[in-house]
Amino acid sequence: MQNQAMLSGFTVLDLSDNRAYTCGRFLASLGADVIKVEPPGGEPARHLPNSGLPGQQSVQWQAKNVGKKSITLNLQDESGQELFRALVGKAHFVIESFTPGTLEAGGLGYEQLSKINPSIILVSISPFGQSGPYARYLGGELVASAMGGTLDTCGYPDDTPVLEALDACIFHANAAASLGAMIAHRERSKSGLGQHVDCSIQETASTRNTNNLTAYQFDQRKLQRSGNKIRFGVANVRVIWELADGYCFHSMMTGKFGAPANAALSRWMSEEGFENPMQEVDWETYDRSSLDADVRLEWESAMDRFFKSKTKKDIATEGAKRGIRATIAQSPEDITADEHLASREFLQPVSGIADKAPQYPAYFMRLKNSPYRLQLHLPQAGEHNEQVYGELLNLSTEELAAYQARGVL
Amino acid sequence: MNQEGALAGVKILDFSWALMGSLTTKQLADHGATVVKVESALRPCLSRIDKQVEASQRRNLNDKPQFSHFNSSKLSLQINMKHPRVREIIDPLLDWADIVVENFSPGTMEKLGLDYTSIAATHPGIIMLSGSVYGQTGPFAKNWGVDGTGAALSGRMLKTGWQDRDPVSPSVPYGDVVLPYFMGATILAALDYRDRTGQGQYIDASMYEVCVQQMAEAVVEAQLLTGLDDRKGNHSTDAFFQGVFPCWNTDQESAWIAISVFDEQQWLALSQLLPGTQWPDFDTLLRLDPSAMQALEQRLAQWTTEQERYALMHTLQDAGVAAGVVQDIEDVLEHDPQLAHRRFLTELQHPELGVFGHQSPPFKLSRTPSQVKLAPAMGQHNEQICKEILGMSPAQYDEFVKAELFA
Repeated sequence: MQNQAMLSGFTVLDLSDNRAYTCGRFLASLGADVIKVEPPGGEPARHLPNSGLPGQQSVQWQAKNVGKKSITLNLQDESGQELFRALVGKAHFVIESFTPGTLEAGGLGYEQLSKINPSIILVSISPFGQSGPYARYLGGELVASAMGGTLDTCGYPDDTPVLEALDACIFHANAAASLGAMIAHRERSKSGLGQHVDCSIQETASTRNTNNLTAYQFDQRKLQRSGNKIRFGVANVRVIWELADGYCFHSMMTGKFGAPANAALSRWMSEEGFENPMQEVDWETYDRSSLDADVRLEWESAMDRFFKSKTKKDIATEGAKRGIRATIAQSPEDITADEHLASREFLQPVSGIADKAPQYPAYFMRLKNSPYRLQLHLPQAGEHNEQVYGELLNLSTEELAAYQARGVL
Repeated sequence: MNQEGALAGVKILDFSWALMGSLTTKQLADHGATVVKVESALRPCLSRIDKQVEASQRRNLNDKPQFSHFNSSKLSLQINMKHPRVREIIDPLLDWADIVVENFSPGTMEKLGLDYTSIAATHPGIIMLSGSVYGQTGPFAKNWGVDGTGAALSGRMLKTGWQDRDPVSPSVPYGDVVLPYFMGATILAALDYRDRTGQGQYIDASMYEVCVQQMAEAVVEAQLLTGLDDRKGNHSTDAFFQGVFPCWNTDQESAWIAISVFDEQQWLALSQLLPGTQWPDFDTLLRLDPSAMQALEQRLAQWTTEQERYALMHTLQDAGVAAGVVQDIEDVLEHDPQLAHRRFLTELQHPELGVFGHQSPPFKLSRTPSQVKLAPAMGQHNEQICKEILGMSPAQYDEFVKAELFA
């Protein structure tokens, strides 16, 4: 029985910045040999000033690059470009997130790479895509989510639109690009040929907005952002509730689907002596779309008083037992203490950090018949120079030293 | 039958439903895989019944635009999974399929005798994926959950919004739309591996865990540092200056622009465009305390509020500053030449709803592009699937019709 990782034997050259880190990390979780190609001395993002312990690598960099190898290479230098072309001859994927046109200018665009290696798959992730009027416009998470239409849906109606936590749309685009890479990979196994996968963060973000899209396509209606509520058609239903020591997610679902949970909450409120305008409601016939908005507000203000009296622990224990279908809005500390994740061995200690090694998410998906865990190692810049250049290009230690002395590595 | 595209010849038996499952197989079907969607009018997917637009009728299973977006390019097999003879059709489809996809509550496929262990006993090369909120194992595996559950569990919810107000939720899904891409990618890696080695695969995808991957930075940070704010508003780790600023309103609607500065050169470019001279240099910018940063943002807002949003975006971008209009759905559909250039929608003639743009995969393959085709009506391909895929005789098919299997 073979028990190899599914992508073992496949080599990925990862040129990405933080807009494309995740794609390589995902491929690494499936067993690909993902090699970061960094400028001599390491990429500047290793040391973002606003992130992590003083003097150590930035937490953002760590979290997104764990499980990769690192080599250094000066792509501005002609002999550096020559070495890169040689590596492409041995690789199966290249991932990059430069401003479109940058690789071409260095003689390393898809056309040039495919001449060296016709089976190479080049994965490009950029704010707006490789061609078109905005292709060379700059942007990260905030700008791409603004232009994609998701930022407008997040925040209070009386306040500025607000960014989702961390890099939601970039992560989403990396998921999409990973699928593109695997479609091309599967196709290559039939045709022997690679291709260019062009993923736009803006376009990926825009695909989340299907409800808004159909409302506008058919009814010329726009759904406004609604703070701690979510709009379902015409209903505006509160979904985030303050607790005594945090927040929870709870949403009243329609009809039979929501009836048992809605009834359980109402019963709990009454049993504890809270004022309860929902006492007489027939939950089987409750329809969130046709409920009078003022009645909803009256219900929600009673629920608000009730939830504020409960702790996260009350919701997780008594609430779960009663089946009210509320979920704690977990903090990172709750996540690291969660017994469910512990039973799946999802968080594991990282190696490659001198002291106080934290636990990292160790996989994307579990596989029954193949390894699926990332090698939780944080590479130093150029840590794998000898191994990678030796194995792929047969460069000797002396040759490497010579390149190093000339500032190529 | 779909014979074109990168995934031509890939055969998928698709029990998936709702957003997370449907989007997974949509992406594969749009690239040429043959996807047999197994569904029933006795328990239709919510996206076939939920009336979201005026043109849809509650009782019609075939007139919901959201269903069409999520299920393009698939074939529909309408079948009663509780019918005593259902395995006479499902078993030959298992013989046919490379891949089985499902996202019911954990335990459901087992009750149908269609869990991985049962299928693999007779089909060792099968690739099966189960998607769920918590994953297939662990103490909470069978807990109830929806898209917002993934946001709450992963820390996304607590960490989105302003520090001095309750957290907020975007009114668009996340886990439900991110998982499909990773699930599709893992399925195809498994298929390629199977073809090289003969080894089948079972994939257990948890929305909770993939959403924690997105939040990895926060999970690691919380173990290293204390006293962190839960919410950072519009600030990001990698931007030295960033915010959303008001623009000149031409009508009653609000107008906003997003601006990010990632390095010294970009800050210089931005400050040279600004009126007056009292703008801090880059080193000063890096050392601003939160209240000084807020004051700086307010000064910038005084300037942006006099500018037209698109003109300002072009001016900033031409100067080398990352900027983008906060577009609403009308802007995305009607004022964005970039998305139009990428053909983010594919216009298709729907038999009941007329012509409308269907969402296309947001990644483009240069040699084997996607081809988005119309989503099926309920049971539209019953006969085709039975006769062309399973090679049934007309008499056999008629007998199944009479036995009311296709319900």
